[in-house]
Amino acid sequence: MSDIFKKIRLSIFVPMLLLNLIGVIAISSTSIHTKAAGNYAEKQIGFIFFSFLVAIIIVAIPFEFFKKFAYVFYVFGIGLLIYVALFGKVVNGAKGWISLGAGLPNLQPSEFMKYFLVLALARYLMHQESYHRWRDLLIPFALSAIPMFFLLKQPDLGSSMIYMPLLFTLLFALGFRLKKTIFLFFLGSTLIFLLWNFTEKIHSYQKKRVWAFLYPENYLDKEAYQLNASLKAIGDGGVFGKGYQQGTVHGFNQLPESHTDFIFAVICEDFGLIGGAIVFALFLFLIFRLMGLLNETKEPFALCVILGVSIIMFYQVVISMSVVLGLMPTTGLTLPLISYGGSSVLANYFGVALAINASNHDVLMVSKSEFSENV
Amino acid sequence: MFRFRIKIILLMNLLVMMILFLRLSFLQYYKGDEYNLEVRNANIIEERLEPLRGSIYDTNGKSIAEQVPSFNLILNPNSFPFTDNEFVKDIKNFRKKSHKLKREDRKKEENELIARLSIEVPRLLKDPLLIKLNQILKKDSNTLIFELTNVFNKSIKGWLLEPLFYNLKYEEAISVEMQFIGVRGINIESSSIRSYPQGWSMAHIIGQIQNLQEDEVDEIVESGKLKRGPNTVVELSMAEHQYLLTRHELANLWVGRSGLEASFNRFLSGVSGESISEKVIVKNAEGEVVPEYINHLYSAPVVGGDLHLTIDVELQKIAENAMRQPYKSYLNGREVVRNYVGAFIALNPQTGEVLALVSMPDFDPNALIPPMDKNVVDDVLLGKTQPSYLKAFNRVTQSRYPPGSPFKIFVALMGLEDNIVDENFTVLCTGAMRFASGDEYRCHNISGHQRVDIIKALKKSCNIYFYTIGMKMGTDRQNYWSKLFGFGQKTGLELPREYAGHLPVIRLNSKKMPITNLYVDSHYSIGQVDLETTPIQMARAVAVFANGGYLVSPHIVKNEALSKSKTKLPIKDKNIKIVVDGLFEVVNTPGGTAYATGHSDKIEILGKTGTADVGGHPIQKSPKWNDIYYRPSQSSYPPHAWFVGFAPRNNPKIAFACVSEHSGHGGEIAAPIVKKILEDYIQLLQIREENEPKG
Repeated sequence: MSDIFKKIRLSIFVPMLLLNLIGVIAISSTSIHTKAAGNYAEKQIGFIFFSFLVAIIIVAIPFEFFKKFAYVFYVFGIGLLIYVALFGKVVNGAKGWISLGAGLPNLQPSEFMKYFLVLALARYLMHQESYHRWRDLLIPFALSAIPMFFLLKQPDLGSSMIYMPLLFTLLFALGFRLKKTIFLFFLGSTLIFLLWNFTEKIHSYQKKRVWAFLYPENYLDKEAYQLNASLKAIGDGGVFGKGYQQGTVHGFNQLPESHTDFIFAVICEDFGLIGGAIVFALFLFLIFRLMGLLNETKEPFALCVILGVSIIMFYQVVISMSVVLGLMPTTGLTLPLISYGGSSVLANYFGVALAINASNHDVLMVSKSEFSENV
Repeated sequence: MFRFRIKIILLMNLLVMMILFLRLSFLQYYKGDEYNLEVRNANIIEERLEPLRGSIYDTNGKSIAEQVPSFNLILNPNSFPFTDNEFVKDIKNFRKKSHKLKREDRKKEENELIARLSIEVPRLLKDPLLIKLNQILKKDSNTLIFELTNVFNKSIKGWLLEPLFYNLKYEEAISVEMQFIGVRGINIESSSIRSYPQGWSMAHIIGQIQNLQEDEVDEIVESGKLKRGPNTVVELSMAEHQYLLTRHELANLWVGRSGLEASFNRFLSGVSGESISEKVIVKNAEGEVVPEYINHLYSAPVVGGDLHLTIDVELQKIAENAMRQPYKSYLNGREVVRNYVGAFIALNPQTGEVLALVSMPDFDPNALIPPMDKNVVDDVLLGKTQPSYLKAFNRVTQSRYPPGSPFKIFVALMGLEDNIVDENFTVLCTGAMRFASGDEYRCHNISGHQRVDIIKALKKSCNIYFYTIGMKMGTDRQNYWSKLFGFGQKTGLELPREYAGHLPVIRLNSKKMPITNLYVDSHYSIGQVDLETTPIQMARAVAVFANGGYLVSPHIVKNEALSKSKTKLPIKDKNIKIVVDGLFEVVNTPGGTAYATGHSDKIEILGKTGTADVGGHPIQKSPKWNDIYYRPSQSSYPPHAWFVGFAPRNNPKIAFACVSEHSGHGGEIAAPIVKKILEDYIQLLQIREENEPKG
């Protein structure tokens, strides 16, 4: 029995479900929830159930399947991105959604692409020799850059921002030379800088978001409105919070995107520093547990997958929270497990399930070529 | 995989999360109170509580101006359920997303929508709900289109909605309420509106109210007087009670522009009240979480003060009626029927209280209550219908009339006081004074009045007698007496923009000595030089003879102190009596210039007629033509007709001045008006006495 539990990794799912619960409570507290548009909290519960079931299935699937079809997943993801670029639905100025028809929620491929990329990178990087020389980096770089290209076309700056840090951290963990890693970091930054200035792919409103971040006083009415509202809401919560559904800023519709991007501000306003601390603790615990999964296996592909998933989870949490706390310009990246959104919840459960699956998969014998000499 | 590197990554994780947590603590712990205050302040609503404007009453307590409840119809194009109209939908969609657009795009779309108004609004008239509405309101389609366009215009621009129609009748308001229950976007707003229950009367006394104009609002805003009241929760306990308005509230304020509404605007307005509430979220009795308003400050508005006038409405109406009758006159040899253009004023000679004040042509003050009809504005304020006779001018206080013969009353006294003449002094009038140089100073009777003493000179209005006095006195001395009688100064009546009149200016030669001008000296005495008076100055001056030699302070608002403040002039009683005798004979003995037309059996009237020439005689330099004060047109038109005096002889109750522009002889034209007014007034007083409860 305990074997099964161990397999399912309760210590991972419990924090996830707790975070989900906090999310549902927060969503039901927002003003969106009471509008005629739809019962968001209930929908979110449905998403969670569905994602949980999917996760169970993923964990049960033999791991080789993922190893074998890693690139297929990647290509499938790219295919979705292309489809979205051609036939996608525009939401909030970005063409990032596929509508599945009446009654079904919309699908956001960018959420899944991250994890497909992890599979592809893991597949490529699992051989040791393939990351010591410069030219071997070409392929991982390309693998990461292609989704970025499509994402910037939507445009979705926020999601695309994760790919480069993911690549670098992964390389760093895998033992890539420090100097070269740093060099690569600067290369990536230059790429972003070039893209920023010389392409139309980053629209002016994205740029405005950055200006609004740097000089909020000048943009109080529009672009910085969200930022200021978020800070006010958080500060308004104080240490103990104002109480469930009693937050003034989001309660009077003064906080945009309160059920998605800024859900954390809602938690802070309703439940104060205490609520925020609980969320921090849960995420920290989750990320540490995810990384702890590394101990369970020695198989290189699996290690890469686990690492990739943990890194993604970490960066998503950090970036999303930084935006809400006013430390970064708005990106559009959602807070995993807490934000409202079917694709987001499903993708994150998918990723975690992959990691768990990977951790369950160990080999007694590995061939020389697959074995890293430093483990 | 490097274990060490993994450890580093974990460490970085921890570090970053700690930084974020630190930031969170900073926001919530250190700055928590500050943000809390900011959020509370953002949800504070300050409301202005409108004070009730004061009323105006006549001397007997009859209401002249008051606030009455009014019902305004508000139609919101955004929520009113028009049936399937594309234009309305377009406007709704535009308003939903307009705040996300850039300014240029927004303006562009706005203008596109506004351009469509002229076609779309008439189409809207076919909407079944609008038809139903108009069955109650019964407006003609042009009015409906005009007002609807206005409302849609404001809705497109996102401005605060104004009522579609003001001042619905009570039955109409009720019908709308009942027939449109539950219909969104339409409702009846009850407010109050100015009303002048006496109807078409006292236009120049009451004046007019109007909204502040854009530039006036700008001026006040820039002057920095527009300070907002308390705006933090902390200051609420120290709130000032004087509410200072926002820009929007200023633009909707009514201020008086003319008449008493203007000169007593502050007094009538009262003081705004204020209510400050905070919108909070609370748990109600059923455990639901709802928004609620907590009131932090309530300061009630101070109602405007009421004005009690000295005006007697019934006398006023008698006077207005008399001056509204068309009269026969002669123009270029032909008989014409005309309407009076001129003034009448009656005041109490003992106290200076103004009993009636009429300026013709006038207008209906009710028509100028906002919102004003464009035709009325053109007619009354811009004078487009009758360019030479601006209705908005108050000819009692703002005119510049040459006094003509009535001025002889005062010259007579001047002559007596300065011992130039006495009751026995006589002059031979042969029709003209002829000089060696060939100049002729004429009397209006070509054959001459023969021998006249002062009484006869007044009775017949002989110019020659008065030329004699004038030539001996000189302009300078006449100026001295004129000032004593209040000419050349404002009377201080409480209506705005009173004209002080004008006295002849003595020219100095190169040695700074006054140049004597025999022409001016002599014609001064018959009131035909560069002398400008207003009817109220004339009435006040003649009242000196009615009250035993006092110059009273004319006022229109009851004021005991003013009633008692009169200055005794340095004139002898016996001289007063002589002049009064003269004035008596003018009206009551055959041969007097006003006997035929002004003599009455019902009341003893004393006075002096005047026929003031306005063309032909050279007039000295005067203030410029397009001054703000009214100047009757100068041409070869007939002279102004004056009649100035008081009634009755013993214990006079009324001192009056009446002038009719370009009408002819004072005796023919002005005296009958006064006779009619006074006779009707006596009758009125008798009826009142009979109706008074005995005992």
